[in-house]
Amino acid sequence: MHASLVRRQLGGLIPPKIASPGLLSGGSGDGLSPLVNFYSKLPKGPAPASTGRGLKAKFFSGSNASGAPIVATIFGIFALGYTIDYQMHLKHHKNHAH
Amino acid sequence: MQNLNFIINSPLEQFEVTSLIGLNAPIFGYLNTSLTNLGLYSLLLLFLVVGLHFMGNNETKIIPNKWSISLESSFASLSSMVREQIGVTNEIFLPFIYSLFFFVLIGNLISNVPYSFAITSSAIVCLGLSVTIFIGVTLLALSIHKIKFFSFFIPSGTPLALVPLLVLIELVSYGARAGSLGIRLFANIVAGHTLLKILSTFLYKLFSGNLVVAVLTLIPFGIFIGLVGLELAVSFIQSFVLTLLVCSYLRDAIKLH
Repeated sequence: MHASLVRRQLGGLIPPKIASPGLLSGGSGDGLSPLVNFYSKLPKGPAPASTGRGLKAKFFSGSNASGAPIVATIFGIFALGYTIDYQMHLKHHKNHAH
Repeated sequence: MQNLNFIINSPLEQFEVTSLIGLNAPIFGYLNTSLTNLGLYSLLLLFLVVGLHFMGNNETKIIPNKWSISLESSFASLSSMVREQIGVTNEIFLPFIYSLFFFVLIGNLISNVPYSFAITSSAIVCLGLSVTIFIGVTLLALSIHKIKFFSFFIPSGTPLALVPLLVLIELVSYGARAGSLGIRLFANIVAGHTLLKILSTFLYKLFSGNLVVAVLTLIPFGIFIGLVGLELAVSFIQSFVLTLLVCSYLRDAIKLH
């Protein structure tokens, strides 16, 4: 039987040979050195915690992201609205003026 | 009998546009300029939308934070909406749709904070927005299709005898878009806020009665909390519906039928 025919029959069993150091660079692995170079320089370990001052670093960046700014905004809008309402007419109703 | 002194203000009072700081000067033919609560909350809305995108920006880091994930996913859903509705080749409208969505959404959400002002509850804001969009969309359609744009008013396969009548009907239904887009938004917001105001006035009266009544009032208060949640949902739904309809109007303008 022809060799290639056998291989085609067994094609479902034998995984195809996609890449190996030998195929890519004649066994020496030289062709992979740019890749190795690139990946070895990437930072390792967990990402550094967000440092720095300012609102963004404290409440938004990295793992510091929290919902606190939303709560603060809601309270801020409430305070603004209440102040305006109070100055516009609530203070006139304080002692049941009507 | 302190209850006799209690005044129930109109539940529509919250929508009144009042001047906060005004300037009347006898220059430039009697200049009158004032900052109203509508203007103040519009500025606040602008500040919040820009601030959200400035603060939520991930600064080209690979790993996103929770804020940038939420911004990116809302961008992705709006982008897919534009691509599905208007077409892949018309992604140029994405910035418009995106900013429109955030304008209406944050405006609706601000209005849910007690004592704040609902800018999307004023007819002038909503109708101004929708009529402007309507004019823009019509101009876009005219510039793309020139005179053929008017074929939009004749459905295909209409007998010639019916054309005058159908053109009239289609013209009215096309013109109604200008109003319906804005009225849908502001009517929903006005209705929701008025209901909450009326119910909270009743609840205040019940809570300030005697102790037994106050404890029993916790039951309707639970329903009231549910209605507040519903109002939050309306905020999201209405901004989504508005952008979706603007997308479909743009598609009509570009593709005609």
